[in-house]
Amino acid sequence: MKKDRPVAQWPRKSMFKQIPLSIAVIDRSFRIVEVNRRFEKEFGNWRGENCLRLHKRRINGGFRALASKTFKDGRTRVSQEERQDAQGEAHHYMVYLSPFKDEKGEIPYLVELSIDITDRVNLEKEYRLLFDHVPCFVSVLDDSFRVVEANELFRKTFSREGAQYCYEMYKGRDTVCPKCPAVRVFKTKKTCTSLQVGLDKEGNKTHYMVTASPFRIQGDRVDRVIEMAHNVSDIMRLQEQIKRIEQEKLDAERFAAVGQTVAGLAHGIKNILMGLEGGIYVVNSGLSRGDMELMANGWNMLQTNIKKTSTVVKEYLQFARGAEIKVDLANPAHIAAEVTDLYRDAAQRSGIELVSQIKDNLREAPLDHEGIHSCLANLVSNAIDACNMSDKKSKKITLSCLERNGTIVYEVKDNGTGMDYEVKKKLFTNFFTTKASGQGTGLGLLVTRRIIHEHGGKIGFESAYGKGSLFRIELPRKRLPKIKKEALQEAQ
Amino acid sequence: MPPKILIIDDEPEIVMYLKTLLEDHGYLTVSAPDGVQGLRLIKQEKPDLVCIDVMMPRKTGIALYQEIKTDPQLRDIPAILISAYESAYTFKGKAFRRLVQDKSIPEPLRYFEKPIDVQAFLGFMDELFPRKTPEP
Repeated sequence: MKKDRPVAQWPRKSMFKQIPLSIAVIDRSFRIVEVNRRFEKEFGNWRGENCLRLHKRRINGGFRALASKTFKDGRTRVSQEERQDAQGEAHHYMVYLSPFKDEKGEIPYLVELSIDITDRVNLEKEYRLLFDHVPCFVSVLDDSFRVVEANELFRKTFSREGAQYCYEMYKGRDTVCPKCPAVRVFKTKKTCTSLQVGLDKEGNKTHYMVTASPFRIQGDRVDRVIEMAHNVSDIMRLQEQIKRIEQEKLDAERFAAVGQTVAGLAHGIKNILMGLEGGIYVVNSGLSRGDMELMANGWNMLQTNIKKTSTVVKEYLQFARGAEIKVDLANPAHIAAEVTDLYRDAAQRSGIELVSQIKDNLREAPLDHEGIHSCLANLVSNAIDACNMSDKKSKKITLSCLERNGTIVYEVKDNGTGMDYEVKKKLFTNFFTTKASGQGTGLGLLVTRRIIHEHGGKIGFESAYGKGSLFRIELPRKRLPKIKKEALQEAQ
Repeated sequence: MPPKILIIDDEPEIVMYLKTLLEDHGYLTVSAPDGVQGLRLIKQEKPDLVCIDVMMPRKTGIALYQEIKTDPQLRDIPAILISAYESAYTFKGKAFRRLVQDKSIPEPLRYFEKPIDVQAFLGFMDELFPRKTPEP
């Protein structure tokens, strides 16, 4: 064949032989009458053999039927089949069956052209495997939200009888879901993510995080969207569990505080009882000795302890009754400023400098204004007492209010007496007071701690004997109580 | 000379009560309102017994007890603790060792819970000072 010869003049025979595709010519009795080189190389010499033997391992439909149809109507047919090559290895082929017409228009032969598509088929299989086994729900939607493809996990979880549309499958709805990410993808052609709650086949609530992306673009519009969704129900359940555990912990802390209060109350009552028993004894002793002064002392003891009983009972009732806090939006800084104003004079009279370090850029927070106020008042009042008990010349209390990493922090620092080991140990655990008789019931810090716990916060302290103390209240914003609906309505 | 008892308690009523009770039963008494003054009085008066309240301002009863028991001059003076703590907090065995790690410090001779059982308290005193306790 010379190079400058026009294509039309190439000898057909030579072209037939050299085409790099397997070609066979079949007559009406399904006998292979001619094959080209490639065919021979791939399947061996089948000239004169019945082609049905070659085609016995077809994937879809019988070859005889297919060939007969083409002999009859003269239309080209395509089929996919699996066939053994000359070495006995199975391959996949795309087979084109075309009529060969003679001058009369009759079809004495069919030309069969086979293309090896084994690589493509294997790749498809791998993709299918991947598609079916990825541990998330994968579906392909057309622009009417019909699910045209779905992986195994999706089918297993969401396929309902008769359901065709994604909203029917995911949620059992009959219209497109609100905030549907696919709607946005069709509109914007951009990938889009959304957290949705669906119902599985059994009707269980399923939380899933779905990512929708353009899958096929026709012209300038998206006509297929692929949705990949992760089941996040376990994570959501865990989150709920964590929330519940936190709440339970809070409740437990509350119960513990109440328990300690009861134990503390017993401690306080025992002291009072001893005072009362002592008073009676001293009065009797004064009587039998004829000592009027002793009798008067005994009487005083009785009076003091009866007064103490009434104070303890009142404070305890207040503590017990105040179990419910009243939460409203309040500025944490304002409360601190109020307490500083309240105690400035009292501190000054005792020769104590009361300093406030309050950040004024704090946002409002759901707080029990009165409760937090009484906590700070209690701490400042304790600090004043600690300063009064100390012999230092320059006495100072600092009340600060700031926010650190989403946590509202109050600090009350004094340079008073400070606390030793035993005092620190008992500080929050009992009706414990180091104050002189009649000046404190030991309930103040317990009430303070209860209020702080009710706010989901914590209270701690640092103290060094002889140097001073620092009490710190920490209220993480995310743990603060919710404002009750009634309170909100009232505010509006 | 009757035995001399030092009462250390920040509650004046408790001091008054114990003072009257002990005096009625033939003891001499001295008292202090806190641990600091109490320690000074121990050194000064050399009492035959010290009754220490556990919870006091300035210096707690436990701190005072440890100071007495580590001072060679004072360690032989018998000391008892008085407090409104429940039995769970009694100052015995392991509970005491949690408060006082130094094993050379002995447990207190006796611990009385408030309000004190007068019979038991006087019975204990009789045992401690047998010949010297006249009946009222």
